[in-house]
Amino acid sequence: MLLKELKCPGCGAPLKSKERDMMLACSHCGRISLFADGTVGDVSYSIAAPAENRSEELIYVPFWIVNADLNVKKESISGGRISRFITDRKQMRGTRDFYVCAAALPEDSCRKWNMDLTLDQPELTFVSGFKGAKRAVMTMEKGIAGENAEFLFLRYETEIPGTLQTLEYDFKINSTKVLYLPAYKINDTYILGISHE
Amino acid sequence: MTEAQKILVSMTCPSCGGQVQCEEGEDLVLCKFCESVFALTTDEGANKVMYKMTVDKDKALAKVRDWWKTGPKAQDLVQTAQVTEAYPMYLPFWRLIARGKACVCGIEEERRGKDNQKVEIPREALINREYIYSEIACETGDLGIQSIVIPERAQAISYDDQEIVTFGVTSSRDNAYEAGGRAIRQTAVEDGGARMDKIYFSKSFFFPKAFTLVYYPFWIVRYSYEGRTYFATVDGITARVVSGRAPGNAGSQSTAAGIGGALSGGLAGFGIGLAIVTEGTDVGIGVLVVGIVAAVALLGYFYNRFRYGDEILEGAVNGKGLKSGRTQKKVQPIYNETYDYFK
Repeated sequence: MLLKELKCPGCGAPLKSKERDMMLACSHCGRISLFADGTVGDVSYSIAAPAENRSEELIYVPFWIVNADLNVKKESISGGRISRFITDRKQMRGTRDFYVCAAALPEDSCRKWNMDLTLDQPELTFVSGFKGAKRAVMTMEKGIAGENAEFLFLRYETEIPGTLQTLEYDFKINSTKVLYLPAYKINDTYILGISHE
Repeated sequence: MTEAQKILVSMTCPSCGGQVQCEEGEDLVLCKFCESVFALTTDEGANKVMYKMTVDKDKALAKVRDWWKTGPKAQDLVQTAQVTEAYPMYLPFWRLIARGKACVCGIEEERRGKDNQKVEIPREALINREYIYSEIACETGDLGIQSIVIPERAQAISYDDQEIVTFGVTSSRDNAYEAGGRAIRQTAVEDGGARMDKIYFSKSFFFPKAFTLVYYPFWIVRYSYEGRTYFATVDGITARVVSGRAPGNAGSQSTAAGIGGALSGGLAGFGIGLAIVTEGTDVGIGVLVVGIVAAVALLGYFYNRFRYGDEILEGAVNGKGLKSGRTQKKVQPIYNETYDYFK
């Protein structure tokens, strides 16, 4: 086993970090690069603007945005049709962005965010930098984001009223990108700070 | 098991010489002293670690003697058997830790009401758990070890092939990784469909967290009894006998034949007798059927003990003989941070 020092792909300076973050910022030139498969490389990412100014600490949470075509060819459900009709449940179909939280935050928060944001796609405005705010550490590798997105769809189909019996679908991934969403830490819970909520 | 015990290995920071802790499955490594960032690279595409042997030869032999006394083994085994050799051996295992996720849909069949009508209840399940897979990575002949559980608190050290005697790795990394992923996905589907009688839909994923080549210590003890040789393997950390062969108990073998024959014959006879006495009523026939079924089962059990009772097999040893003890399964679930859903 060998330890290979990682250098910034932009300026060549050795990378330094206090945390095991897949998104490594160069302390020399400020550039952020993504750690994957034992090396660092260029990554494009966007940062959503906070919707409001709050007094709590602002922290940017990384998400993998998986854009995919979801084509359900056949589905049968036992029961639950009436409650689906009454509650006007949204359908997770067609082309959309799947939100997969990439930070090591409590699973309960991540699950709710992933589901809410994927079902009800937020209108976002973007900023160019973090302006000194903290970034939550990214722990999820890009390679598994797509399957996590697919499982999100299966979770939705199972958790809505009725009991899923058969399902046939195609899930085709178009792109996988990094998006930072602003959040506020209140006690031990995180609240997303985008206009969506 | 409550938690996936991650293997930790210490290495020296190439930048400042400080000690860095590398956790199993993490290929991004930080030095907490100089904050340098490293990628952990390996020759085989998997980290190699080993565990120190903590059981000495005397303790291993004592455990084998205790094992001789248990089960239907030859009664004079402890007095007569001669240990011919006992040596330490490190065996390599591929170990994969991964989160297994599965969506499983189907039906559960239930019998209800007076007329025992079959009712189909639709079921759906989501499995989201961590699993550990381990598989022996070498040809051991027939040692009967296919998988390991690493005990808590066991200390891993960086692998050093100068220090130990080991079998060479013969299975390929990629095959082991694939087999591990498949086994974890399959286990997730089985866990999801545990209550279902028919599965109509299932889809599974595995998200790997760590893949390691683990060298684990054992004592191999060979012994002879009445001119034949047998063996036992002892876990080098927990001192448990994990596999082995032992001569069976001839007395218990013949008793099995006797008791088995007598009991099953008696049961069948009782059933037939009752059927005649009750002149073929439903009750009599019912008892006859139950009696014969029980007789066949009993006969089978005792026949097995008679037929194969001349050799006792512990662990995953192949061949004819009476199986004893438990075989370590290749996939084990970890029950913390489990997010399952059943309906």
